[in-house]
Amino acid sequence: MNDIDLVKKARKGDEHALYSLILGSKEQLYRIAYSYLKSEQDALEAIQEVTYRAFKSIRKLKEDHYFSTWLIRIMINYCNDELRKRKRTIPSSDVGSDLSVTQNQDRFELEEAIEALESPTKEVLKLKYFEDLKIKEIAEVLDCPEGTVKTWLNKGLRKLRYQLEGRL
Amino acid sequence: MFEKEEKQLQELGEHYNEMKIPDEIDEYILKGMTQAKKKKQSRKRFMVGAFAATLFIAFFLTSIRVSPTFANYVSHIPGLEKIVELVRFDKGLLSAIDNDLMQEINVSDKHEGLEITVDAVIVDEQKMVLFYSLESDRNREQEYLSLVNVSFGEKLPLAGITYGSIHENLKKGVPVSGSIDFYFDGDIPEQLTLSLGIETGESEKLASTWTLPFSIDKVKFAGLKEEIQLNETVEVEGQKITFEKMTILPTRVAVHVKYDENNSKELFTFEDLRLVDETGEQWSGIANGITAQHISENEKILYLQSNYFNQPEELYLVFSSIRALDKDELEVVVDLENKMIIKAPADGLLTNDVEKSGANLVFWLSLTEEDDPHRGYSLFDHEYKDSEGTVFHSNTSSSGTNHEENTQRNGFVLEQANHSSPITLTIQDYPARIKKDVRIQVK
Repeated sequence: MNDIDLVKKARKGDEHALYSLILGSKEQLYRIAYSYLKSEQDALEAIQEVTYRAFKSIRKLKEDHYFSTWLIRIMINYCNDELRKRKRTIPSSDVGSDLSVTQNQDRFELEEAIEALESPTKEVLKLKYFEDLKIKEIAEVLDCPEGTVKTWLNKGLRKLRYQLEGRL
Repeated sequence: MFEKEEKQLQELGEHYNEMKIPDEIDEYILKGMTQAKKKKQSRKRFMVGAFAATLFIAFFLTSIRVSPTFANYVSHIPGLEKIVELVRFDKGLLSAIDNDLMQEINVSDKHEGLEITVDAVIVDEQKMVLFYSLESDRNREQEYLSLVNVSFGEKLPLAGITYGSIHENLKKGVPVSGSIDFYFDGDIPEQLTLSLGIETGESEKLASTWTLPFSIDKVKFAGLKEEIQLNETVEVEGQKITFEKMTILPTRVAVHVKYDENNSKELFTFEDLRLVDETGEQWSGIANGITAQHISENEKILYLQSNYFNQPEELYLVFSSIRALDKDELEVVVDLENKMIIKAPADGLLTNDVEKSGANLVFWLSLTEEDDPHRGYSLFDHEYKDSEGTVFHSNTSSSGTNHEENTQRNGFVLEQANHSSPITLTIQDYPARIKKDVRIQVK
């Protein structure tokens, strides 16, 4: 049985189908959560909350083939809410204690530059370069026309250049 | 144009891709699911008694078309547009409507801006399917409403009630529909008064009780019942099964079955029991609602969709697969300290490792059949014993399948985090089967 059949079942209330689907997306969801929340524990809690929300609102999913982007949208919404709640920008010393700081200075700068971008520019960059999503899929996640995604993408890259080079 | 930035972003992306995903992630997914299910389950109530309500999984759903009579009927009664959705998986109910067995009621009650209408019922002497609609006088976004305390007072010989609808995001003036199944085990009066409450959001009950008195026309279904004595014993892999009789009512068919007490195996479920007529038309199990009644350990009533109005010339009761396990293999003994199974069925489908975090246990079940990943086994009985023989109850169990790996994860939540180990659980369903094509002529 392929995923579309599972999604069909899940939409009809088959919780095992939904569970399987979430298991299948867990790594991507975790990475997205981590890229926003920068903490293993927070990312795990995000997974729990997104599972909960997906179970609660699977009936609102309108089309089967949007399932995966729908799940990503739930995750991004959750992460943005969380960040808003915390009202903090993440200082670089907080970023991933498992990383070797000295070697990865560039990466932190880049991460900080991305975090400093506004939504949805930030989302577009993360989804495209971290999750390898196509423009069309990003448009689905963000529920906007593909042309708009391209505009944001361009804007995001330009801002990133400005930020990174301004710092050099 | 932005090659450098793109390259940097891609490298950062790779870093995320290489990141280790913590093993506990599955635990958190399970928690999220249990959390959501708990809320859902509290809305899905069963007045259980001797009933075992089984999760609905429709395997043998034959394609059901809605007849023009039905479509026409539904289209001119307000509030019933959604009935098609509510009954479309049950051929018996569809044909009951086609045969004018639906009774229009149209009784409403309104409190706190919420109006409930009993639109119609389909009733026979064992079961009533009640269709209702719910309308709000204001928009209720992000709000969940569900029915609670559904009853007909004490006079009615009710054997069970099932309903499961959660209504959410009600729009002002736009009714939503649902259905409630009532099961009777005695005579039903003509005058009925349905009373129910409404719970909103996070289990907050509204103060009002909605009261809906209505009468049903018993003449409509009087005598609509057919009983066929079968008294046929079949033997599959040495297990004797006697099909005693079949009761055909408009809303469902009841098949009375007895298992020989000397059978060496416990028979859990007929996987594909169905009725087939001379043209090959099939009536399978009840898709949503009560699927079986356990009278005693060896005596059961299995419910199928009704073929009452079809009156076939020939009719066969058919099955090819029963889930079953040796009776002396039903106990599973778990060493909680070492997180290991000490005793399990010999076929090894239940793997030896058990995960434990707090009161949560997770078992792993290997699956054998193509359909298994979508079945969601409810492996264990809710009662379990500790090493001293004290009986406890499990609060929740769940299952989910990673369909690529053909392994199912079964969660079981203990009553308390620690017990005098080992504990003994009892298997109530398991992916081992007896297979044999059996065809019993009914007519």
